[in-house]
Amino acid sequence: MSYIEVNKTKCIGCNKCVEVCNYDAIKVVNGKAVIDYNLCTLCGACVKACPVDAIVIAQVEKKIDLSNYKGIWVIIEYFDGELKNTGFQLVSKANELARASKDAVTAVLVGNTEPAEDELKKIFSEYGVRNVKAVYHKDFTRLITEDASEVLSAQIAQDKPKIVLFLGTIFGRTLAPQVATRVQTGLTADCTELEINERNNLLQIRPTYGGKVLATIETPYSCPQMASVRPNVFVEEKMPIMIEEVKIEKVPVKKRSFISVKNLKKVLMIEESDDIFETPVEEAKVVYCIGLGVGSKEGFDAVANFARQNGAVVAATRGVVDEGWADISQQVGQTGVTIRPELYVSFGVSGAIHHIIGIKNSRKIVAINKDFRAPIFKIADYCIVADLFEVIEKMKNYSLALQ
Amino acid sequence: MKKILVCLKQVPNTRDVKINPENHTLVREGVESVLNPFDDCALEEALKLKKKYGFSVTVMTMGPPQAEKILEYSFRRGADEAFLLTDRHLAGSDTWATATAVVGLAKKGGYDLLFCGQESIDSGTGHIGASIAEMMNIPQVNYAEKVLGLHENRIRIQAKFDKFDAQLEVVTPVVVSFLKKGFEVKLKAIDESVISERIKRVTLADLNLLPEQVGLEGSYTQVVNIDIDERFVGYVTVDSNLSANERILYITTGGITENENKKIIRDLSQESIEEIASLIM
Repeated sequence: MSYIEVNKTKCIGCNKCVEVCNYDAIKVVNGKAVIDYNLCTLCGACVKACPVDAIVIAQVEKKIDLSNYKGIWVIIEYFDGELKNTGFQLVSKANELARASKDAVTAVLVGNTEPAEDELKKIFSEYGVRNVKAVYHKDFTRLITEDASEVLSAQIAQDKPKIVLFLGTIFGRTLAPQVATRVQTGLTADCTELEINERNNLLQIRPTYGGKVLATIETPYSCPQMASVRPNVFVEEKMPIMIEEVKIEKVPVKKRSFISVKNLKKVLMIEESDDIFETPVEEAKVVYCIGLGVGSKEGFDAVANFARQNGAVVAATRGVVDEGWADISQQVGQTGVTIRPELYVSFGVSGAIHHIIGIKNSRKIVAINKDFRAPIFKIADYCIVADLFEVIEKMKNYSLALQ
Repeated sequence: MKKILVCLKQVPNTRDVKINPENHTLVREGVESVLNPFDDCALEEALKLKKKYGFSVTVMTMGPPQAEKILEYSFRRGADEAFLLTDRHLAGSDTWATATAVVGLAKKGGYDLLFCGQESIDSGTGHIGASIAEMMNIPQVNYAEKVLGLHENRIRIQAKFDKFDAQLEVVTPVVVSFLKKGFEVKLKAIDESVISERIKRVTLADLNLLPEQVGLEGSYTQVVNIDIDERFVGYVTVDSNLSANERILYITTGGITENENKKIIRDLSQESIEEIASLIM
């Protein structure tokens, strides 16, 4: 049972695969590459490195009939009467996928709110959604996703959607793997692109290895095909239909074996976290983002103070959060939040791709870095090649002079 | 005495991963393999409980034989027991197959607390803790910051939730996935000569798992293509139509050129300062 194979006729013994293997799993013996299956993790690095396409990873072939599964579901949080509005970004992407796969889109609202039909019909008609399903119970809470997971999983088993998309909020990122495990199907986290392939399956594209690589993932032998997408990755697009075309289906939940009913898990207390920053980074209009180029916690604080003086919200790169200078809620990029502010200004940010992914849709990007080779300059609208502290110093003097 | 299992993953330090401009592959040579920082925080919380209540701390990882490095590190941190789940059939496992294998090992030990990192820095799915709990049909807490305390079979945990901190009380056994945070790593002096021998190596057969339940075959998702994002390859392509001077400028600026969509400011003259101020202040 080996899924990775070297075509001995094609192999030219060039050693390129040996060089890229991180697991010492390839050796060239008698001029041909040989794989040590005890060490190989099937990461695929050698497949890409091979100049003559001699190494292939065979896909597992299974014959399963999935033709009963139809439609695209978008899961949207609906707690305390508030519809998570970033859900419409995902609805817009689902509409696009549905055109390609000839499926219908259903918005599935999950939460503690009984649907206000007229209001919902009006909202969803603007986005071309004809089917809305509301799964709700007054005791549902975002903190005990197990309850919602149980109900949603049962609904999926009954209705058999082909594709289910989750918004990658904390709630969605917790709910999605629970549901995927319960219904026994595949799930891809934090996709940055979704497409339909020639077999009418969902291609789930996501960055990996700190964002340096884009992996395309398919769920070929199980349904629904599930993916989560962080807020602000896709753009919402209106597609109005008649209000009367929208059907709202209420699915009130009967309590069964819920974890909260069994008293296995309960919420004792919720309090606002003591983060200094009132506006969450993802909602800010002006963001100053701080990278490792500030050199120290003191450097970070200096830039953060400058940001606050200018009414900007402070964001940070992963490196800065790893150093403990900033809170994880301020982290922008693939593993943090994705932002699209009116103005993004970076201070000492080099622009690793996992960061770029999270900021590239900002309206205006200003980058300050003394290294002109910093990759962030490739996507910046304004490249300021200078020492960031010198820039700040001069900015302060300039504004003092104006007063 | 309660038993804790901490699930660990060895990851490449993604900050060091570079892209080879020649063949557009990841250059992993010289890239350090480290314990996923989120998992280190999970281990830290487990060791705090060991200190406070005298619980036993078992660590496990799944991966190639080199992964034993992080288990040795765990012994130096104060772990009591370590399992390395290594089997060629595990290669290519997605999060479902990985969770299946971890559950196979977890069920053998009868643990009260299963700790994981919320996500790994190389793939960052955040699925494993949730999947393990669902497969074992036990409660879970995600985005956990710290353990507040424990009384009989109830554990109190502080977890992050959007703008809020929540305190949750959960009945054990439970899976807790921890966020990363800074802490001071303390290493113990231990007998280094037997450290590798203390690691218990297990295979699928030891866990009564079949090869087809894990690895590529046991995975619901399959990677069908891997691409390097061209924009981030560390080299520039020079347009041969440019004049010599333009080419030199292009190369020395790392491939960024001024145009109607991009302005470059290289000096901090009064004029530049005014322009920057109008941009950012």
